[in-house]
Amino acid sequence: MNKSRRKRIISTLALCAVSATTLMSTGCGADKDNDYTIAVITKQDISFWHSVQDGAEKAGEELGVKVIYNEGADKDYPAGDTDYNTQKDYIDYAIKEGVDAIVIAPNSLEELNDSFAKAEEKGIKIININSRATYSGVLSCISSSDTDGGAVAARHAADAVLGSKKIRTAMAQVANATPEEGIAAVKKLGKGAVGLIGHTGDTANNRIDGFKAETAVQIQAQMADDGIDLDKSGLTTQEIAAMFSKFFVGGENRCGTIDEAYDETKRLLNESPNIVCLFATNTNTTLGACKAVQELGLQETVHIIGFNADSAELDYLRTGVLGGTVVQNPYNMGYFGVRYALKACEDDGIPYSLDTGVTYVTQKNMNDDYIKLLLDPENY
Amino acid sequence: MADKKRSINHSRPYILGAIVLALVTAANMFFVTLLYTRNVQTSKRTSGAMQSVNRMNSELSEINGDVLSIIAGVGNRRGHANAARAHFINIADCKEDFEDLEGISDEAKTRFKHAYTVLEAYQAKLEELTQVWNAAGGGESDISDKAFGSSMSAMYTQDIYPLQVTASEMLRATIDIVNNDTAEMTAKNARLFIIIEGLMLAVAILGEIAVFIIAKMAKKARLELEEREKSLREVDAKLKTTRQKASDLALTNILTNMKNRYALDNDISERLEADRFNIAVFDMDNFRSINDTYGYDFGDEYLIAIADKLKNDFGSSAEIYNITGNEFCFVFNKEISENQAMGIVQSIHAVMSSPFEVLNLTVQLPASGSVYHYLPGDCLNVNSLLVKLDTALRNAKLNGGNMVNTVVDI
Repeated sequence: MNKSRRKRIISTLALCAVSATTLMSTGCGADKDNDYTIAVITKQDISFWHSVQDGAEKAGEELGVKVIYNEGADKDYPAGDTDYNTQKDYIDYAIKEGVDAIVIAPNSLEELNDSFAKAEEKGIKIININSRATYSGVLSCISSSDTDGGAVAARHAADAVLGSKKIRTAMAQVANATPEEGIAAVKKLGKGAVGLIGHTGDTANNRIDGFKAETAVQIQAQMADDGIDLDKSGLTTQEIAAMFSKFFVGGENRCGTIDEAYDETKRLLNESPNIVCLFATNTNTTLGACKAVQELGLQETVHIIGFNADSAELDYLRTGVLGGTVVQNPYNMGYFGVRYALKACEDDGIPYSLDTGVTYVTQKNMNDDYIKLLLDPENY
Repeated sequence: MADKKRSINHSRPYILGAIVLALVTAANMFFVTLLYTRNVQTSKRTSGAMQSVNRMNSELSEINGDVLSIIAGVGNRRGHANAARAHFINIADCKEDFEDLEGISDEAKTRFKHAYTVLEAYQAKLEELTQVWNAAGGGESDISDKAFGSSMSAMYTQDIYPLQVTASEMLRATIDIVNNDTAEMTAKNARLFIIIEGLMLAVAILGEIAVFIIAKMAKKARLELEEREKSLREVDAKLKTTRQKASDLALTNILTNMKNRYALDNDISERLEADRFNIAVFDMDNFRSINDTYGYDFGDEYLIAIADKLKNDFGSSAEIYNITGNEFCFVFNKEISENQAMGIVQSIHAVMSSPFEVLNLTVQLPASGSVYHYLPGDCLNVNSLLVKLDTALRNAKLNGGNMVNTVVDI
């Protein structure tokens, strides 16, 4: 055997050994990364949905899942919270890309159902976040209850309403009057005390409904403490409901932008001088209301209850223009959305719904650990 | 000694092979133990983390059960409240256990921290509930009980339940991360194991191949060495022969193939001191005339013919030396007496003086000689002995030649 041939044989054997080792090493063992791709589709370009994106991407990173976010249309975000056409484009793209699951905050309760059906035909799992579409194939919805959000806002708004001098005076009259006089006073009580600034999305109705209902509960409880039992007043349910409805003004004109909310707030404050509390149902309406109240210099007399925790909202909270804000947990919606999507892909059981809750954030509690986690989960 | 050394050389590749195998085995054992230890640590960490987090989740469920019982007014509310507090103490213990675990990834730690922060918020909400309860009279009257139940129900739905499920999901997410980390670590260990085993195998195979090749090369080298040694022995033998031949040539007259003057010196020098022997020298008278007449080649042939004749006729009685050109020296055997020697000398003279056929020509020259009955110690060396003999020979030639003189002690 000559020298070069021997060298060649040894080189070949060494190469074989190393190749076999490499092959064995790359071909064996479980790995964190899996092959699932999950499309996450949200609404417009505001901090709430950015936070959803952060949570979704964090879950993707932790679980080894590929996450694509709002891809497949000529816009990076839907134009607003009713722009379901852009979301349809995102869904079509996701189907084309062969994703395994779609996590979506639907911009319509009905209009996306056809797209969902197309996706489901391809075996794509559908998870909703923020609100649930009417489509029956939605496996789970991760959201906070809008009704409860409104109720939590109302519980805290009640302090502002019931604690105001005007209302307290009226309440005292009720307490000292005969039942009949009391009922008559109640009818006038707090008329137009609470202004409602609703947004254009589907969620606004539930938030306002929850707010109204809980406000009524809170006032009734206060009246009961003052010895006025409406059950024994002889008023019908409709009459009682009508009585409480007088507390609220606005809410009919839905606002899609900050400017619209600003104009609506100014209009309400101008038309209803009794307003002691404003309830805004999302980020834009909160910012519009704050802007108007601050401009009119009414922050000492008008208590604003907002929704969500955009950095501008937090600034208003720090300066005291915003009395408090109901904060959902968008980060967790994104995080659990992807987590549930993966579980659905792996045929693990997932709950029909998950309530991520709402939290009332004020200037006083905004430095609590949990609130810090809620407001900035990436850096907590 | 040489054989032993050679034997060691032969077995060297196999010793090397054994060392390679031993090293591979030792390294293998080391790495396998290392990987086993790492796997055990991973497994211990995972089970510890899962135990802590699962227990926390289980305690959380118990608390939720207590809270629901309190809201529904099932059983003793204070009892449930105390039980819930005990569960929170257990949760705090589990948290410490989890935090004491080493090697938990940052991702899992962060997720756990988030879960625990939600848990603390949940606990804080329950404390608020207690305050509501106390404000409602601590369950001492039906009215306050009813009011409490109503407030609590709203608080539970809106504040407490979402925190509880969020904390629970976060804890599950923590377990998933720990499981993923474990799977990743196990896969990494498995990959490492396969790489190490593969490398060990490759090293062993290559080592054995190297040993095989070295052994083969050593065998070839050994054969080459043996071949070379054989050649060297042959060369050595040839050298010895050549040296012997050279030595023989130094002591032999090339023409007549008889011993020469140096051989004579060698043979009798040591005998001069103690031996008694008879010695004679002869040469042809006027041999130069042959060379001058017929040429040197003819003269050489003539000398060869004389030498052959002398060897043939007197080789058994004496050792014959061709000490110069046509001069021959006879050292008689020991058993030859003086008288016998004298008789042989006459015969030699007769033979040398007789006609010889040389190259189809008959030539004849007279010869002269001298004989010496040597006695021990007569001469110090061979030179002086030959001087004595040559002097006697010269005297014979001066007296007309064709005669034999006896050396007398001068």
